[in-house]
Amino acid sequence: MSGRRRGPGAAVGPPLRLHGPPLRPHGPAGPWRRVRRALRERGTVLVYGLLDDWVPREPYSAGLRRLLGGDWGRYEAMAVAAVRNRFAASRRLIKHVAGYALQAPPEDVELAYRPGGRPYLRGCDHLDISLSHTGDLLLLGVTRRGGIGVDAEPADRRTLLSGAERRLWTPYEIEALAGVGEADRPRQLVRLWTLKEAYSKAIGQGMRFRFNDFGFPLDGVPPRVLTPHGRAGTGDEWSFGSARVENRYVVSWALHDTGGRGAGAAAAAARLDWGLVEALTSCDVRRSQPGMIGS
Amino acid sequence: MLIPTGQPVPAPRAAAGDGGADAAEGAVRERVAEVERLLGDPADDANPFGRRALLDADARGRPLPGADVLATGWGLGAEVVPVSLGGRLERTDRLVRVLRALFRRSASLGVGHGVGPLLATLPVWAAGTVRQRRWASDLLLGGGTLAVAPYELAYGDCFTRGECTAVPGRDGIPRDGTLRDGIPRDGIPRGGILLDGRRPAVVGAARADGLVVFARTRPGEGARSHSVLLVEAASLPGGRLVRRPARRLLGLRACEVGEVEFRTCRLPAGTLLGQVGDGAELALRSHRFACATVPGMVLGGGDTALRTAVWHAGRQAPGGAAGALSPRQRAVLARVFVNLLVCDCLSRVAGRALHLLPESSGVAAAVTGYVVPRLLRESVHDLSAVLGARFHCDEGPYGVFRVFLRDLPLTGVGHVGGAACQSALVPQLPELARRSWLRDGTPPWELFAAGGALPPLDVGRPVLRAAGDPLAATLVGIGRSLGADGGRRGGPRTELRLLRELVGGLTGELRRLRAELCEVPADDTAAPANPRVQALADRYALVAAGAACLGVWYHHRDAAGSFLAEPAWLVEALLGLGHRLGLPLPGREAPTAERVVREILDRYHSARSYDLYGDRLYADRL
Repeated sequence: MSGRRRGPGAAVGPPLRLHGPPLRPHGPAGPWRRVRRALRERGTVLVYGLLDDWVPREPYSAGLRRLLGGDWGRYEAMAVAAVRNRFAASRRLIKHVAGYALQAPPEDVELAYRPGGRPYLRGCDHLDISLSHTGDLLLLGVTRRGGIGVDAEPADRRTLLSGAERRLWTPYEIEALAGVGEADRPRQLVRLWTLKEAYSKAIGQGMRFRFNDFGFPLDGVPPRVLTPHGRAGTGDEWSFGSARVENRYVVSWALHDTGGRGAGAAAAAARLDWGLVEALTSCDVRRSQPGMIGS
Repeated sequence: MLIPTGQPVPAPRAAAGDGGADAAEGAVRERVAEVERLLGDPADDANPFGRRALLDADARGRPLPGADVLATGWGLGAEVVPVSLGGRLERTDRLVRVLRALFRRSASLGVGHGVGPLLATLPVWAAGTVRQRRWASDLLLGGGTLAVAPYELAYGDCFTRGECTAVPGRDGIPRDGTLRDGIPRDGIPRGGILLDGRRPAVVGAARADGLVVFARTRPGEGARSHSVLLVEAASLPGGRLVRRPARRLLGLRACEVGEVEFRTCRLPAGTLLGQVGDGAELALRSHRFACATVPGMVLGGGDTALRTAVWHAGRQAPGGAAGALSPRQRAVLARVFVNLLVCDCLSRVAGRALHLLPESSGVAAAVTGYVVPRLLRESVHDLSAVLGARFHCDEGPYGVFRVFLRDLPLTGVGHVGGAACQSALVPQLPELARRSWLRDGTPPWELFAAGGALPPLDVGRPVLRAAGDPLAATLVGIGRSLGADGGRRGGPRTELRLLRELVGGLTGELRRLRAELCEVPADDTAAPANPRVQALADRYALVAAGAACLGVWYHHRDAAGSFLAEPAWLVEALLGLGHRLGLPLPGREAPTAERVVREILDRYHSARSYDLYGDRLYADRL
């Protein structure tokens, strides 16, 4: 019950902000101090890893098998080594970060998948997670504020505003981007794309939500979802952000505050109310005067 | 009432079906229709409960003007008062479906005028003296209101935060501000109670005539740290009870929520509900009842969300025909409707278990409180793929949709519910796995029926660890019967074969869960905090949801002309749950999703609810 009397709860407070830029543990050994602090103080953390740090040294070890748990069969069936390595690396990253958040060994964290494939922490979904990977980057968002979506793209990714790709943008975005110089446009496009993917993942839709049905403003104003014609589409409960990592990737996040704890312990034990657990498991349940309802 | 294991599963009595109705079911339908009629045409801009009025109130962050008529004019307060005290609370099915009608309009309306008063009264009915119960029932029947400052949860939202301390004793305020030892163990203290503290968000605080307050009476953690008080607002001298508007919430903006502060309030000893230290136990009793009933009420918002998506898809389709939906739209709509049915099956079983199997009702209630909010939230989000750009529109039906989506986490079954349900579920599973699963006989069929006679409710019954698990027993029992009767009854051969395969998969999962839970040492008090055990509880909850659906279908399968009697929806439901469990699944060899879509369109055109009952709604289709 250590989390009592803390945090604004479901009241509207200042916009949610991450605890500084995305953090990079260099493997299971960490460092984890800032990750723990971000979770404790903000309830949200954005972590990234590079494949080399997280690809298992021994691809078929008993330890990896224990760590992957129910995902082991899927891992073994992957024919392409690069795909298999990325899969193992991303699961190691998720389970180590989640393990630190839950104060449990990483192999005790079970990953499950919603229809549509979005991973979640089975039985511990007070912590929402979102994963993205591109190139040699793995990006993971973890929050107990509500929901989170993240996306990463190479900063030099070429996205067009014309032809078939025109349908990826709203009329508002097309008009706004038309006013941006050619030199700056690719940067704006990558940023917008990652914001769209992050939001779409945060609401559990991935690419199923058409990208010309919602948009974001260009860099320079606080990001928020806009309708195709530029009206506000989300309220105070959403916050968004973007950053550049390793100087070659653009990452964005979408955070949905549903009133979860902002500060305090995220551990699996902290989620349970021990007063209730004790009341339930106690043998000393005294009967009070029953209140019969009904005839 | 359990049928011994090994005995054949008896055929249920002729089911009322979703089309037929017995007297009890007829009475529920009548009251739902009456509330629908009173709430009026949602499309009418002049209707005080119409969409325009609700969206305006939400935008202004003010309670819906004139909503007090629900309590003062329509007698809605009586819905949460036991019949023995002059009210109408007798059956959970009526309570859930009447208040579901409020949620179909707005979560603010449902929470402010349904869930709020219900949660406030439960500790009074459970532990109040004759005088306290009479006072509360007279208040509600007379159009007054009660509000609750609930048990503070370790992982709660704004409604369960803040802390009040109550110091029972003969005299004064503790000088150092700490609680005293020496609380009388033998009942109500003679010298009255001193109440101090602040709760930042209490539903209905401003207009409440009485407040039910969970207050700390002992420092530290533990089952006896809190007590419950029933405070008459008018009895407090001026300045002792301070009420002010709460900070703006993330949702429920058309619901009156206020901050309550008690400033050294000296209360008479008769304020105590039950005994000193009963707080956690009374919270568990209220929680069990709330988990079994509130999620089913909130489903009303999911009904309107789905209806909005069907309406939108029809507008977008060529010629405006709702039948001309794209394959993607059909798949999403079918999945969402099936999810609503899964939720309602759990709600039905949990509510009826309070009547029929009170000693085993805790597990079904906790599963309902755990599964339904998640499934509902995901389902409403899924509709974004149908609504497209209109998902973010804040006008008309789209605006109502959006407000519901925003409000959903605050409806009392979201963040808090999940945590509290885990607290109620996880500690019980290892014991149930050892003693009950694959051993108990099937529960009475009334658990899965609509209407019919039900034993009286007993809110005051202490919550004990569940004696048995009716849902696990249902899965095993019906699974055996499905294999035995060769699939001759209950639908086309292909669907029934799929069904047997899916039920076999769920039963296998239950066996695996049992093996894993049996490895958890019986005396391991830390086990509930282990994420591995919490993951097992999550898997169990999905299996139990499948069992609830199976029981409802099995009960209805001989009801001619009933959608629920067909296996299509059940096949779709079990495919969805199986996917979540990561089970190997059979292919969709039968057009089961198409059958579900047909039902969605039928109900849309005939203005019937998207739940197990198909209640008739206000004549306007949206």
